[in-house]
Parts: sequence; C-alpha cells; structure tokens
Amino acid sequence: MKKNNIICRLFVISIVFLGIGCTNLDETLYDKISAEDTQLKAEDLTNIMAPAYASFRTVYWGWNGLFDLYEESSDLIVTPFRIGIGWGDLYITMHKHTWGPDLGHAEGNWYYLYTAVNECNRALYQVENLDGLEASVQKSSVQELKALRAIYYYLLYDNFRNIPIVTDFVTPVGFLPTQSTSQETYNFIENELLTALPSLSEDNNSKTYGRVTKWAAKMTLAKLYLNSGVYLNTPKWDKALEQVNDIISSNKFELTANYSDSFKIKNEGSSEEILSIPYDEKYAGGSYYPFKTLHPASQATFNMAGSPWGGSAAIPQFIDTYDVDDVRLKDTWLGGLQYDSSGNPLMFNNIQLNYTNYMSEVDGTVYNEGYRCIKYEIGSGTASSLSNDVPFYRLTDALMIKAECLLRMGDVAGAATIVSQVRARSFKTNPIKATVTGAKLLGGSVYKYGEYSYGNITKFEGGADILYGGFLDELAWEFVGEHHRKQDLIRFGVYTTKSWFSHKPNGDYRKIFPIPQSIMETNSKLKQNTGYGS
Amino acid sequence: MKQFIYYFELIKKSSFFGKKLWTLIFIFVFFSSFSQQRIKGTIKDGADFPIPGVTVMEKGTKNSVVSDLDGNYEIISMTSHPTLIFSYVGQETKEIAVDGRSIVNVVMKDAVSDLSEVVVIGYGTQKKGDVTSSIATVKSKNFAAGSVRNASELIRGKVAGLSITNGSGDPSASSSVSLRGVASLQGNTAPLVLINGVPGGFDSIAPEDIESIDVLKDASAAAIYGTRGANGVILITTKTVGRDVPTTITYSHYTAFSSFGKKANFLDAGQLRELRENNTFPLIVKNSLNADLGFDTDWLGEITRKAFTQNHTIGMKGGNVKSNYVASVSYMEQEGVFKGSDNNEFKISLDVNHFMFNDKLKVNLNLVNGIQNINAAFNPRVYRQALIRNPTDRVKKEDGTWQERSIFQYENPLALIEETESLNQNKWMRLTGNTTLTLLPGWDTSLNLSTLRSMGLNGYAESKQHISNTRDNRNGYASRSTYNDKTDLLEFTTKYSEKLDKHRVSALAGYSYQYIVREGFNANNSDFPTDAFSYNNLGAGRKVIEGQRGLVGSYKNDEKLIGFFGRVSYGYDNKYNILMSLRQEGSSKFGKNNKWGTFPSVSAGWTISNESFMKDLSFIDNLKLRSGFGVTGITPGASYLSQTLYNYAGDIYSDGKWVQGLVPASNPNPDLKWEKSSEFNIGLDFSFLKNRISGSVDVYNKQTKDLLWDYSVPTPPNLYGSTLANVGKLENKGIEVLLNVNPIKLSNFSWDSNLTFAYNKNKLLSLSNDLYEIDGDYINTGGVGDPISMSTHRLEVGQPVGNIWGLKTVDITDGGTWIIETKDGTRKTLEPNLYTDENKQYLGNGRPAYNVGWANTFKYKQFDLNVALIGSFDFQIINQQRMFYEVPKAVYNKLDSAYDLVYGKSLLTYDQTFVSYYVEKGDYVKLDNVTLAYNLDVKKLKFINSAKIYASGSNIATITGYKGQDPEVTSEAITPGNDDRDKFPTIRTFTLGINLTF
Repeated sequence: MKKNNIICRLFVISIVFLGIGCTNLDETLYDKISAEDTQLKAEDLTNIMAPAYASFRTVYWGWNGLFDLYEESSDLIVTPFRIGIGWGDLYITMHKHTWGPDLGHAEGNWYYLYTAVNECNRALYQVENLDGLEASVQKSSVQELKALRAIYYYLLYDNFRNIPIVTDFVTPVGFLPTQSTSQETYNFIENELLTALPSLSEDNNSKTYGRVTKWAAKMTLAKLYLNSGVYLNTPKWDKALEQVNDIISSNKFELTANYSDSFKIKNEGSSEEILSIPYDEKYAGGSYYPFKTLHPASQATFNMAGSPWGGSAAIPQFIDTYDVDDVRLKDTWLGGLQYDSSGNPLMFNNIQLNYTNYMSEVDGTVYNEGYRCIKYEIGSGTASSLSNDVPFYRLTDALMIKAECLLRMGDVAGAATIVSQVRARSFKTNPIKATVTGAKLLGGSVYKYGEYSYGNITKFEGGADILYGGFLDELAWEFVGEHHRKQDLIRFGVYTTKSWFSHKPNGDYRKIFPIPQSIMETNSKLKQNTGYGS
Repeated sequence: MKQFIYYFELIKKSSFFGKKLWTLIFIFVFFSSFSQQRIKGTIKDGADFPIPGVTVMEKGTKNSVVSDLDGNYEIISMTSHPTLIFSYVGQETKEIAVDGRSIVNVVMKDAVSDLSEVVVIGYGTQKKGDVTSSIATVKSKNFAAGSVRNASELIRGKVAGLSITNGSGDPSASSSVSLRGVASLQGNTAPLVLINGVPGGFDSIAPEDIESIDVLKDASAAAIYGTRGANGVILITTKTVGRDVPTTITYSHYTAFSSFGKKANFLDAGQLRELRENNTFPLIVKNSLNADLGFDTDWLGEITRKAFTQNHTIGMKGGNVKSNYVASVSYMEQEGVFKGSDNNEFKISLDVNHFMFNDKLKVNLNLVNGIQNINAAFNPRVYRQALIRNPTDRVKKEDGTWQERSIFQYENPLALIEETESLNQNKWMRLTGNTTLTLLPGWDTSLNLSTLRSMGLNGYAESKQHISNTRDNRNGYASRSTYNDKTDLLEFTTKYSEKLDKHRVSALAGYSYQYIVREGFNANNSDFPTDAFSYNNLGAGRKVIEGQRGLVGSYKNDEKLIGFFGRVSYGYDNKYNILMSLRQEGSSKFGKNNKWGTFPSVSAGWTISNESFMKDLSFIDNLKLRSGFGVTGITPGASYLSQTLYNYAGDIYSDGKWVQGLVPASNPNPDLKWEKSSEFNIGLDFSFLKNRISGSVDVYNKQTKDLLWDYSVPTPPNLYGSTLANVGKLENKGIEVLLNVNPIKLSNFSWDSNLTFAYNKNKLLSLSNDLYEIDGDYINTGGVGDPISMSTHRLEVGQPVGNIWGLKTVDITDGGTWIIETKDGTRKTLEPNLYTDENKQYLGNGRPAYNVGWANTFKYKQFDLNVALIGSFDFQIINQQRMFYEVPKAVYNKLDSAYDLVYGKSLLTYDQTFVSYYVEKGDYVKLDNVTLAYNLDVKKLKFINSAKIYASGSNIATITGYKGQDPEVTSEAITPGNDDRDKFPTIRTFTLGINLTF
C-alpha cells in the first residue's frame, strides 16, 4: 500500500505540473499583426495615412459608389435592364427616381464615405500620438487629413445633407452619433478647410500628386460656395469665384492639349489635374466602368483580358445634343458598327455588333441599344480593373465654376470667353464652332427633355425654359461621367422637374438621398430625411 | 506409434546423436503426458445462424479463442478436465464441461436484455444498464451495407435525432450532419467526431474498420467535452481483437454503378425549334440565346457518364495473449457522374496492442493513413452552363475548336472540363500512442498522445484552348496550392472503479491539451509558352514577370484548447445510478476577459424493472427512467477574432511609388466567448417480451445563449459595419423515439425492425444584449443570386430559425403577371416596387420538423435482406432551379415546364423573381438502401472460412410531391431549404460486392 501511495502522489504531482505548465491560452500571430503589439514609428507616417486616401478609391469606384449616384440618376447615363444579359434591375429605381430607404446606392455611399471618414479619424488619432515625428510634419499631416476628411464630409453633405459629424476615433462604448443641421455641417466643412489652408502644400508635383493640396481644398470650398444656394438658400457666387480665381492665378495648372489627355491610362502628372484619385491595375484596383458598359463582344475591340458584362449606356436624348464636330462625342462615346482590334467587323451571332443611339425602355432594352462610355482609355489586356486615375478636380472645373459665377453675377461676356477657351481644344477641325456667345449660355438648353420610349419622345418638354440652360449643356458635354451631373441638374433646377427617357419627376425631396435603412436600424438616434417615410 | 519406434531404433544405433535425442524425446513425451486436447465446434444462435466473434475461454486459464465468421472455433485445452466459457454480446454466457469430447457444438441463447453491453461514453465506457444519459449506439452488424461514401452513411436513419443529409452527388463531398436541430446561428453546427478519442472526420476512416458508433446526444453526456459538445459528440470505435486470435484474413470488394436519381428536364433542340416556330408563344424573346443554330446537342449528356466505382479492402488480424493486431488496407476508385469529377482513396490502418508486467501495463499503437486524389476539373459552374446552353448549338466547330459565343457568363461546358487539368492530393496520418497502467484492479491511468497530420497539394491548369485564353487572352493559366495542418493532442486520465456489495463507484480525472496549427501556400501564373507543362512548371509563365497582384499567397494560424475534467458515477443495486461531470475549459480563441468556461453536468437513472414490486411483471425485461442536465459550448469559428488586427492593405500613391497602408482588419471584442447551451433531457429505456420489443424515448429542451452573431453596428462611429459578439438566445425542444422490434423469430426466418423518429422545434428567443440591439427584432438573410438578388429567409425573435420569407403568390393575371397576397389578405398585381417587407410574409420553414428512419433486416436461411427507408416531414424547399429556369422570360435555355400554364391559367410573362410559387412542400419518404446478401456454403472449401456475396442499391426511390431533383437538401444553419440551382444532383447507385474470410 505504501508503494501505491507514492505512485498516487506522483500522479497528483504530475497533474498539477501539467496544469501549471499548460494553461497558457495566449494567441500567437503568424500572418497578421496585432494592433496592441504594433509600435508605430515616425517612418510609418505614410502607411498610417494611406488607408485614409485609399478609401477614396472605394468611395469613387466601389460597387454602388459615387459615380452611380451622380450619373445614373441623371439625364446623361442609364443602366437599363438588358434582355439577354439578365441584369441591370439594380439601376432602374435610380433612373426613375423611385428609390426607397433600401436603395443600395445610398447604403454603399454612406458606408464607403463614413469608412473613409473613420479612416481619417483613425489616422489623425495615430498621427497625433506618433512618437518621434517632427512637430511641423505632424501639424501639416494633421491638417492634410482634416482637409481630406472635409472632402468626404462635403460628399456626404451633398448627397444626404442631414448627417452626423464624428471627429473622434475613440468613442465611448455604445456611442450613437446624432445628425447635425445643414448649417452646422456647412460651417464645419468650411472651417475645417479654411483652417487647413495655411498648412497645406502649394506645390503641384509628383510629391503632391494624389494628395490634398491647398488647391484641392480651395476647389472643395469653391464647390461648397457654388452650391450654397441649394444647401442654405444663400448663393455665394462671389466667394466661389474668389477660390477658383486663386487656383487659376496660381499658374500651377494648365489645360491639356486634348480633351482625352486627362483620361489616359498614364494620366498621372497631367497638367490639368488638381486632385486625382490614383488607380493602378496592379496596386490599386477597383476601377471597372468599361466592364459595366461594354457588351461582351467588345472585348475583342480592346483586347481585354476579362469579359465585360455591360449594360450602362448614354441616354439617346443626350447624345442628340452634341455638335457633330465636337471631338468630345467620339472621345467619350462608342457608337455605331464595331470592329475587332485588327479592324475586322465584330460579329456577334453572325451580325456585326452595332451600338445604336436608340433605346426602347428602361425595363427592357436589347443588348446593343445605347452608346457606351469609353471616356477612360481602355488598355489592351485589361483584366478586371483600370490604371487610369480619376481626375477628381481638374482645372477646367475651376474655369467653368468661374464662368458660371461670372454668368450668374452678370458678366456674360466674361463667361462666354472662358467657355470658348475650354471648347477650343474640342473643335480643332472647325475652330469657329468653339466660340460661344453669352446669349447662348443665357438661353435655354438644347436637350429635348420629355418622356421617351422606343426612339420617340412621347411627351415633349424641351429645355428652352431652363435658365442658363446653354451653360448647363456645356457642363454636360465637358463633364459627363465625372460625378458632376446630379449636382449641376439640382443647381439649375432640372433634376426634379424635367423628364428624360423613362424618368419622370417624382418629388423635390429626391435632391437628397434617404439615410440607408440598414444604418437607421443600427442607430436609433438618426432621423430619416423628409419624404422617405418615418 | 510404429513409426516412432522405428525412429527410436534408428537413433539408438547412432552413437553421436544418441544422448541429445533421448533428451528431446523425453521432453516430447513429458508434454504429451498432459491431456492436451483439441476441441472444435460450431456456435449458433437460437435461429440456427452461426455467430462469429464469440469468445471461447478455457475456465481458470487465460487460454481463449474467438469463433470465425461461420461460428467455428478450435481450441487446444491446457488443463486435464477443461470447461469452456462461451461469451458474446447480446447472448447469455454459457459454461460447458468438455467431458472428453472433441467436438462441442453450442447453441447460444439471446440474453434477456442487452444491459451488459458496453457503451462508449467518452474517456471510458459504461455498462448499458448503468447509463443515465441519452446515448445511442450502433454496432457494426447494424451498419448500412453497400457502397457507402463515408462512415456517416453507416448510421443514416439509425439514430433518432441525428440528421445526415447527402445534398450532393459529388463523390468527394461530405455529408452534412447535425443533431437535435440547430444550436448555433453562425458557429459550427456539426457534432464533434472522435475516432478512438481523437478528433477526426467521418471521411478520414475506412467504413470497414469501424466496430461501433456511439452518439452522445444530450448535454449531460456531452458536457465532458465542454466547448465542443453543444452539437453532440459522435464516438467512433475501430475494430479491435480479442486477446488470442488465430491469424485471419478478410477480403472484401464491391463494384458500383451510379447515375442521376432524377434529371432536370430542359428544352431539347426539338422542343426549342417547335417553340420558335409556334407563334402562339410570343413570350420567347427571339435572341441570340435561343436562336436555332441548326444543331442538336444534349449538353447534360455531353458532360455526364455512367459512373463506375470499385473498392477493395484487405483486413488482417491475429495475435496472442500478450500481443495482437488488426490491420487493414482499403482502396477505392470512384467516378463522379460528371466527367472530370473523380475520387480515389487509399487508406491503411493498424492497431497493435501489447500487454506487459502481468497485464499491468497495456500499450496501444494506432496508425491511420489515408491518401486521396480528387480530379476537380468539374465544378458547379460547368453544370449550370450545360443546363442553360442552347440545345441547337454544337460542341465543336468544323475546324475542331470549341464552339463559343460572345455572351456574358456563357461558356461551353464540355470545353471547361476538357481544357482543365486538376488534381487535388490529400494525405492524412493519425498516430496514436496510448499507455494504460493498471496498478490496482480497477485503477487505470492512461496517457494518450496523438497527432493528426493533414497535407494537401493541389494543381490546376487551363490550356490555351480554354476560354480563359480564347476569350480572355490569358494564354494558359496554372496554379498550385498546398496546406499542412497539424492537430496534437495530449490527454491524461486516471480512473478508478470499485464494486462493493450493492455499491458501484467510479471516478475519473483528466487533463486535455489540444493544439492545432494550419499553414499553407499558393501560387498561380499565366501566359505560358506551351500547354505541355500543365501545372508542373509554374515558373515558365510570364505573368509573374509582367506583374500582377495576387500571384502568391501564404497563411498560418493556430489555436489551443485546454481542459481539466472529472467525472463521478455511482450506482446502487443496479437500480439507482447517478453521474456527475465537470469540465473547465479554455480556448485561445476567446477574448482576454473570458478565457475559461465551466461546463457541469448531472444525470440520474432509475431502473424500475429491478425493483421488487416489478418482479411479477415478467414481460418487462427492462424499464429505466433517466434524466440529465448539462452545459456545453460552441467556440467561435476562427482564431484571432477577439483582437484588433492590422493588415497591410490600401496602397497609396506617394511620390511616384505605391506604398502599402496599415489598416485594422476588424473591430475588437475582448469579451468574445463560447456560445453556451444548457440542456435538460428526460428519457425512458424499455425492453419487453424477452427483448422482442425494446427502445427508448427522449424528450429534451436545449437553451443556447450568448449566440455568436456578426452584429451590425452603426458607422459612424464604428470603423466596420459589423462586430462579432455574443448575443442572442435560441431554444430547441424535441422528442426522439427509438424502437427495435423483432416480430418474427423462427428457426430459419427472422425479421428485425429498427424505427427511429425525431421531432425538433426551435425558436429564436433573443437577438440582442445590453450593447447590441436590432431594430424590429428581425434580420433578413439568405439569398438568391442575380438577376433575382433577393433575400430568402428571416431570423425573427419568437420565430423558428429557418423561416422562409417572401412574396406569396396566389394567382396570375391573364397577361401573365403574378398576383400576390399580403398578410392582411389584400391582393396586388406584382411589380418590382412591391418587393418590400410590408408585402412579404412567412412562406414556410426549410428545416424538417420530423425525421424518420426505418431499417429492416430479414434473414432466411443463408439470405439476409436489409431494407432501409428514411423520411423527413413538415418542411419547405425553395426550388431555385424552377425559380431561375421555369420562367419563359429567362433568357438562357430553360426547363420545359416553363411553358406550362401557371395556376392552370396563363403563361408567365413576369421576370425571374422569388415568390412562393417556387416554395414547395418538401415531405418525402426515400427508399434509401436495399441490400440482399447470400452467405455461401463454404464448408467443403478448406482454405476459406466464410463467403458472402451481396447486391445493394442506394437512393432507389423517393415518394414526394417535390418537383425538384431530390427533396433531401443540405440544411444550412439559418437558411435551410435552399435547393441551389447549381447543386450537383444526387445519384442512384447499384453495388455488387463480396466478402471473404480466410
């Protein structure tokens, strides 16, 4: 028995030993790094700021992203339901202005933009607590991030208007933000930008490319002032003019020789770009528009390495407004009979593919209806995303803001001079047509508004009654596909008053989008925008 | 003897060898003088069937043998007046004095009850009579026969409450297994499977090697497995041998042919032409997708074949009192019904026992090794392409190249298979070493060390004739990937059991340490100079030089699970039994605030039939009431979920260079912990009329709280829109019945019937906690792909999980548009802006409420006939194949039923959408398996001990109103009943097999 007692003890001891030796439950990380264990250093500054900027790509070309908000709900571009392709139903409510709070585009943009805001907040928190960073670098980095955040807030404000402002990364558990008023948000964006201006770089070179400079901040201020009448019912044309004048007179930017130069694959370093969102097929994908617009057969025209699934096309009424000598028609749109990259007719089931400037109705169009937007150059071998950077702000934009302010403040001739200057590169074959008169800008739009089906305008409305309609047309030709149209239509009073294709006006409240249903469900303190239910 | 004397004389003459030989002869005579006696005989049961595996032991010695498959035995006695003891599970033990006979035939009687049968309960065994929890046992003699894909099919329909569904005909797919409903929304819902105590999968072991499968159904039994026990525990015990076994070799073989159980009827070329010519069908939009291209192709026929499977298994066992072994080698070659889907498996197992120091030390070594080669050139996309492709198109053009069309997501299915080369090689090895020390009788201490290594190497290549080149210009694509997983387990247990008078006590204490590490690597490349390299020379591709993101990747992660456990069991007079267990367990996956959890259980049993007042009721053999309560858990699925992790992602273009951003990958949750299930179970075991009727009834109530859910959180302020948190409560209630009946028992004919019935009802009790709350107490989930893009299910507090949510169609307009009915009875003509929750309602539930299994064994002379049926009732299936393809407006090829009148009124002119018209009643009864076996008379053949041939059919017939291919649909936890349009159709298999024992 004695022997057994010893063995008994040995077992008890061994159990205790095992117990002490093997109760460690710490996790070991191999292919990830933990936030707690990561000591950030001054040289990590770019890595820290990167996500705040990288978010811009998702904001712009993310699925249901910014492009769709400004273009798909406008009179220029539509993604109709395609018979034989089997998709496109997603965009019908955008076109018809019949969306509800469950609109995927509202949800996408809200989520992308607030993720971007949060990334700015996080980067700010990290930069403010970063050891060993030079004070001046810290200050300029903080101001740059705040200016970038102000741009994201400007986009949220423009689309949703009644939004919560969150500036802290660390928030108490269970914190639910509340919405600020339109005036508060307006002031916040304006102040953030004005405060940042002195700390921002005034250069335009490879170091500032893709970054928020003083000029990018000023462009945002100009946009805010330009749309002040919409936001606050108080137009601020003079203030907008002041900002763009600074940009233009800085002489840091100049117009490119050709309209298409700003949309080339290698458009980085273009003299016209004030703020760019850099994309790269290898490093920074996500730009997919040619896939959404081209028919699968067009793959052979551009030697693409991926099959397009498109869809999206120009509204015929808009194509009809172009002057035949305007190179922007050909630079922006792909229409007519199609050929493969070797110049042979592009056959699709024994018929040559022909993109027609014709549409039946948004609920059902055939595969080849509508011109396709090829504004961004499509490179051979494009597999899934493009390397073309998005020129978010470009000098032409500043010039046109100046022209619009002059026009609205009464300097019609001054406005016409600028517009003619912008048009010049697009009418090289027929330079006389480049010149526009002030009267034309002041007059109505040539866009034949009205309900349209199967090639015919069934209820003609026209554009003659649109104040500064001539100028609105100029904006369309120059900026189609550049996140302009919704804002411009609203400012010119057309967005919720005119009909085009299968769209009819459906309520003035649609100038702003609903707070997404999924967001309403997670934050009980939010109030839905007027018109979209409780 | 004459001969012997002759030799004797011879030796005597030899002078040299004389003395030594004399010694030898002396020894020989000395041994011969003991009455060593050879005794033979045959052991049969009451119905005159031979019983293999009976232990024949010489009384008072350790001398024992086991009867062979024909019930024959042969033993050489060691004592002068031997008495033999015959024992076998389920039979009464018999003692027979040999009395000088050389042939002793035995007829064994069925034991009145099987209460002495041993049940595996986890870290030990218990006599069935002492069990106090809900545990189901299936022994190998009751396993399903024929071609089984993996071990789970052996017990299909045989355990009440255990649902095993084969939702797919893919030869390399696993069955989906769940017990007692669904205990988790997001975590694992499959039971823990342990093979001889070591975690493994049903796939990892050859079905031929399994001796028994025990299922710990309620938490009072499973709580000893702590955080892994909430979905139940399945304990697989492999075949072992008795102490003294003559070397026996078995060989079994089967050949099987498989084909689709039911085919989807899509329009063929003739039907399509007829429709196009018939102008009364204006709905057929004449476009490129249904143009008459002038050919006639059966696309499904092109990519399918009659599939052939063969299996060979050789088993060997033998040994003596000190050392013995069981070994088996199994090879299977299996073709899928689709071309380009094959599965070959090679499995080896070896189990060696050695007893030392007067049996005080037992050493066991167990090795399982498996090799699997899968051809995965086929994938579900190919099946879809075959269904939707224009039947008037052709496979190849005149010049021999594949016929392709420039249509979005439209690819030649045969080309996809033929121009793809794919081989996935998996290997696994499980090594277990177990040392048991028995210092005192009843006190066993064991140390169990095991390691499971799984490795895989996959290769995949697309040729230059593949559409990835002919359309997408990739110029050949190839990839390789590999993984290497390791699970190490150390378990130390010490247990003691004692019987004192009417008292029975046993106690167990143990420690368990499990470490899992997974790592892997993958690479791909394209733009190859030739197709000749396939995936064997990745470096030859140029894409890696030209540069592209994502050409290589690697990963590694690990997890730890540590537990301390103990169990005490006490019984008094075979009437009252109680069992208590406790496990304290921690996982590295839990948040730092909740590293350890406690999982207790208690259960008690009262064997009423052993009470004196029951003595007079002689028709009752056994009646036991038992009740138990236990707490179990479910761990989160992945490691590192509780931490904020950083990723390098989101590049920034900085001064002409792309710089990687540093981004957090998730919201942190330091409180992350296990899902906690508390289950209460009451059961009754019974056996009447000399065991002719036996079975059990169990009723349970399982409450799961702290359910893990990816909770939507507001952005702002959160960085991510969701956080994984422990929220929500779920309840599962149910009743399970097992009934074994032996209605006919004649000398040469018997019928055994085994019936299982299970009813489960679950309810979501809550989906929020103090921090997380959802608006409206519901979440829409599940979904159908584009162009429908609608959710299919709703999780709502107070409702069962698995509810289908959508628009209820009741009629159709003359123009062919759906008429829906809202909850309040209002009828509306459907249009897309009515696709809102206000117009939707519950359309059923995808999880069967009732599951039934009925297995019958008929024995007539040398014939055995097994007939197994399974059935599921009271559930709905979303028939996605009809939803997508029974729509005239569908642009690709469609089901021929698309042109049937909807509600007998009009043709459908509406787009593809999700409405109740496609939600069907799923109830079915399936003739799951029929096996006829014949035991050949091999008595005249000396070299062979037994031979059995059989023919078997599986998935033979289904009685159902369901219009899809098979109502047996794999159940996802929260979105059950989705019959995917790309589902690999289930197959019908006919098998011929033979089992031989030498």
